[in-house]
Amino acid sequence: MSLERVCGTYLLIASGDALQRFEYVRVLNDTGGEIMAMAAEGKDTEDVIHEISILYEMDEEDIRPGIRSFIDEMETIGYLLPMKGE
Amino acid sequence: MNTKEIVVVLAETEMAFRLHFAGTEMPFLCYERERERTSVRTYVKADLKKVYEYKKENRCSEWYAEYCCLMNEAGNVLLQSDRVLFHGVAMIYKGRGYVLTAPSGTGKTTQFRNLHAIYGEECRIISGDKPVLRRMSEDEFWIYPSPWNGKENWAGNEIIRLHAVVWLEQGNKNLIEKPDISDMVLPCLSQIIYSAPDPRTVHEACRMTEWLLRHVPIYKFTNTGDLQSSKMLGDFLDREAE
Repeated sequence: MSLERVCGTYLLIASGDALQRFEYVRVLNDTGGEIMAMAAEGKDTEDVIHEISILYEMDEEDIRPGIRSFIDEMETIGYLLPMKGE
Repeated sequence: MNTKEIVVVLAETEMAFRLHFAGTEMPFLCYERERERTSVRTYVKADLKKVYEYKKENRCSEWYAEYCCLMNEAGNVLLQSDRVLFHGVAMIYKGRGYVLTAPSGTGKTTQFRNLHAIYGEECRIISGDKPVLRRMSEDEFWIYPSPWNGKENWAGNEIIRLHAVVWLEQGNKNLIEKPDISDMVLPCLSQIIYSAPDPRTVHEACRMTEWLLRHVPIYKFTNTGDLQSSKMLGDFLDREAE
């Protein structure tokens, strides 16, 4: 899977063998794209929550459920391997 | 299985096609270059398993299935050199190059047919289905013909600078809009012909999509598909070019 940004739009794109398991392309919103980018850098869930809270100037506790839910969905689909900090 | 090798030049890029079936070479003869005159290093062949799958699904001959499967492989190669095999009708309209694009069955062929009926030779075909778009500079794309020209086999032999792209949608009234380019990312990317073999090629496809959207005007034309809609398109393209 590749995370690409085209004209400001985040895309998750499957290639090679992954095309047999995943849809070719999935559009992510800005937050989803930023989370996936941080995950690709090896950050764990708490790091992601912390950085997103700074980026959007929001309280970590307020955004934690939403971010965890998104990460869970990505792991369930298989776009992400289980992240540390869970 | 014996293979035949022919060197094909697409948008000034050489590639050697390795063909399994007799007859596959026919659509490529116009693009063939003598082996001795090339220094080709890139080899393209269709996956036989995919060829047989295509043949079964589409109930066609082996050579036709191979010809179709070669599209994606050629698309992969073209992406390595600032070129892209793009799904659309490429035409010259009043001296300017345009690509009409949309998913199959939307009405690209109909719109071109109508435009040609109204404007005659002022509206000529370059490729009826899959032109090559070549990025010549930071903000300039050129349209080249290709061997893949769709059911009608409409083909030309001219090349021209790409002036604009028109994304078509069916509707019950006619409306031309300038969409936000972020709304056209997925539509444009989905019109690039390649097999997404690896992340590097995917990245090239994305890069080409970004360049195209940032530097070539793109319009969305919701239309009824009749002659009146095509006249409206022609009038719009005339005004847009001024």
